[in-house]
Amino acid sequence: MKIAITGKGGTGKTTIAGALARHLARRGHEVVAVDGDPNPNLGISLGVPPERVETMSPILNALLASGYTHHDPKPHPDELIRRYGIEAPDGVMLVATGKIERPTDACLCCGSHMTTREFFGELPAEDRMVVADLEAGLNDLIWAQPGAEDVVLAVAEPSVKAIDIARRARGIAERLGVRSILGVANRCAQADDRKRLEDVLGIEVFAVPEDPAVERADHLGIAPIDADASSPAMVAIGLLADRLELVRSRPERRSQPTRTNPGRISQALPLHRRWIRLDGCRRRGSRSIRLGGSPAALFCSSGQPAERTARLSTGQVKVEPEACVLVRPASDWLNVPESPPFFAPTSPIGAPWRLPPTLTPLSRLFPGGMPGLHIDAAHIADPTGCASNFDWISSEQRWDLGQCKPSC
Amino acid sequence: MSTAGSEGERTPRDEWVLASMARQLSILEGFEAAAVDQADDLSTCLGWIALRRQAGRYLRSLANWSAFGSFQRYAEPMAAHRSAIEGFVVTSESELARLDGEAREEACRRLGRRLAVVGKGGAGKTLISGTLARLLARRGRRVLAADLDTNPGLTFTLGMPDGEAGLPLEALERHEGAAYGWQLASGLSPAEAVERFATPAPDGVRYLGLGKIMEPEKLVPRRSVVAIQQILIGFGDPGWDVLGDLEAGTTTPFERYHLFADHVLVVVGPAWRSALTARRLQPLIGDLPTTVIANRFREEPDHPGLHPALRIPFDPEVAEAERLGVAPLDYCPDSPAIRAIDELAERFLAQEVLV
Repeated sequence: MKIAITGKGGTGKTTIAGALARHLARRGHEVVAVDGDPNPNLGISLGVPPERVETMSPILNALLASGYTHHDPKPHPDELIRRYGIEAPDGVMLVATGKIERPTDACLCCGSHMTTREFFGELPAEDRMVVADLEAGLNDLIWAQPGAEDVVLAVAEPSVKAIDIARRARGIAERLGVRSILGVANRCAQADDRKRLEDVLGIEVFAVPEDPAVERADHLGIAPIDADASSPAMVAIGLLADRLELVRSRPERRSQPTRTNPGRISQALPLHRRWIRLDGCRRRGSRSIRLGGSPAALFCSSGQPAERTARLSTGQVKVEPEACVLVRPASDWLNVPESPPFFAPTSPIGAPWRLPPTLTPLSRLFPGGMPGLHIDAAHIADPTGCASNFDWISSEQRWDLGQCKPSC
Repeated sequence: MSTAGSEGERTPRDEWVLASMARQLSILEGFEAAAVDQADDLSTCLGWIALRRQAGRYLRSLANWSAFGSFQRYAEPMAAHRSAIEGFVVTSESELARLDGEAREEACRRLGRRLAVVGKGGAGKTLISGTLARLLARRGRRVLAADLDTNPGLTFTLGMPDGEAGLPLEALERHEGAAYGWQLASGLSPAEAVERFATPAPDGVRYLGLGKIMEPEKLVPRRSVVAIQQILIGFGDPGWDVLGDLEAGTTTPFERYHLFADHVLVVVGPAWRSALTARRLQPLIGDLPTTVIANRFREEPDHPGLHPALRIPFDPEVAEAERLGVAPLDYCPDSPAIRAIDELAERFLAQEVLV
C-alpha cells in the first residue's frame, strides 16, 4: 500500500510521515519512506541523524552526478532504492527523490525529471508500505499521481488556511481517482478542532493532538518517536497506523473512503494480527474484543456513570470464557479523573507487541458476572477531540458483551 | 518538435525570450523618459534610481537565463540585450552622480522597498508579509503585496476575502513559448496591470495573487504565474513598496520567484528543519541582502549560526486568529507578535537601501 501525505507547509506532514513509517515498521511491515520534498527533511523525523540526512544522496542528484540524462532508460524504482536508500531505525528504508542545492540544478524542477516525479507512482507496493512525504502545497500531489489503490492523507492544523488546502487536496485526490482519502487534523488543541476539519472535508478525519514533546524534539532535530514514543501525538499516530492497516487488509473497502459503518468493519475484517474486532465471537465458545493494536488512550465504560469510566489504554481486550484483559498504559494526556482501572496495565508503551506476562481474568474483575461493556463516545473525556479518532469504531453504537452470543 | 539547437530555426520558447527582451527594453526606455521628465531634483533622483534598479533586476534575470545550456541558441541577441541594459546602468549612474547628495539621500528614504519573504512551511512567511504590508501602508507607504504561493494565504493575513482567482483573462494572453503557456498581455505594462488588476486590500494595500490550485490541471495558477512575475519584476515605480510572499521551501526560490526583490527575508521557526531550510535557501537567494527573522520561538535558543535580526515571539492570539481565519492585525493588533512586526516595519524603513 502506498500512502501519500500532503497538506500546507508546516502542518506536520513530515512529523506524521516519519512517525507513521516507524509505527508501521514496528508492526512488522516492510516500510519504504519516500521524501518527495526537494527540501528533504523526512530523515530527521525518522530518527536519522541530521548530518546523515544532509549528506545522503537523493535519487535524482545521484543519478545526474553519475552522468545520467533523461534520455537514458529509467532504472527500476527498486533498483533506485537499493542504490540510494539508507536505513533508518526499525528497518525503515528511506529514499529522497531530489534536492535543490544550487541555483543551477537545472533538471530538478523542470518537467524532465520524471524519474523522480513518477517514482511514487511506479514503486511496486503489494507487499510493503510506502509512506511518501510530499512537498508543501498541492503541486507534488499532482505530480505523484496517486491512484485508486493508494491512500492520501490530507494533513491540516486547525487554521483556516491549512483546512482550505486540505479541502483542495481532497478534491484533487478524488479527481485523480484515489478512493481512500483520510483527513488528519494535527495539533488539535480544542475540542472541536477535529470536527472543523471533518465538516469541511466531509470525510473521515483522524486527530493528532498538539504535543509539546514533538515541538521539543523538532527543535533538537531528533525524531519525536525516539524522544518520547508515549507522547500524545506519537500515540495518536500509532492509532493512525492501525487505521491504515485496516485499509490494507480490506481491499474491498477501499471503494468507501468515507466514514465507515462500524458494524461492517467488525464483520468483514479478516483475522489479522491487529485487526479491530468489537463484536467478537470468532470461535465457538469464545467472546473476544480487541481494540486496536497500538498504545492508545481509549476509555471504556462498563455501563457505569461517566465518573466511574475507567481508562483503557488499548492494546487488546479479550473476553473469553477464560476472559482476560490486556491493556497497555496510556500517557496521561487526556486527564480523566482517576478511577480504579478495571484493566491492568501490562507492558510499557513503545515496547514491541507481545503477550503480557499476566492476564487478568475478567471473572476476577467482575465477580458478579459479566457486565455489559460499552465503548461510548458520550463517556469519553476528550479535551482535544482526539478520542473521536474512534469514530471509525463507533460514535453512537455501543457494543454490549451481554448481547454477544457464544455461538456466533 | 523543432530541433533545438539548430541554427535559424526558432522554437516558440526562443520567440518568447526575444519578445521578452524587447519588452524589457521598452520598459527601461519608459523609465528613462520618466526620469528625464521630472521637474525637481528629488523626483529626478528617484527616477534615475528606479531605472538603475530596474536595469539591475533585468541583469540578474539574464544571468539566470544564461546559466542554462538551452540559451546558447540566442547567445548573440542576448549579449546585445545585456549591453543595452548596461548602457542604462551607465546612464543612470552618471546622472545620479551629477545630482545633489541631499536629494539622493532623501530619495533613498522615499524609495520603495522590494522584499521577498521565504522560509520553510509554517514558519510565518504569510503572517509577516501580510501584516508588514499593512503596517507599511499605515505609515503612508504605497504597498503592492503579492502572493506567489499556489496555496495562497496572504489574503487572510491582509484581511481581505479569499483569493481564488488569479489574474483575470483580460490581463493575460496565450504564448506557446512562455512557461505554462500564458503571459502578461502584450499591450499591458506592469504599471497598468497593477493599476487595473491589483485588488484593493485594507489600509490601502494592493494585492496580486497566483490564485489557487483547484484541480490537477492547475488552470488558474498556470495562467497567472508568468504574468505576475512579469508584473513584479517590471513594476519598478519608485513610489511603491513591493512585497512578495513565496511558496514554502526551496522550489520557488530555485525558480527565481524572488528576482523582483532587492532584499530577502528568511523566516525561521524553532524546528531544526526550519533552520536547515534556511541554510539551503542561502545559495538559492544569491547575493541579495538577506535578513533572518525568528518567529514562533518560546524559550528555545537560536539555531546555531543563524542570527536573527528580529525575534517574533510565539503568540497564542495569532494562532487563534489563524484558527478563526481572521487577519491577526485585526484580531490582536497589540499582541506581542504584531508589535514585533511593527518594529520590523520601522527598522525596514529606517535602513539604508542599496542603490
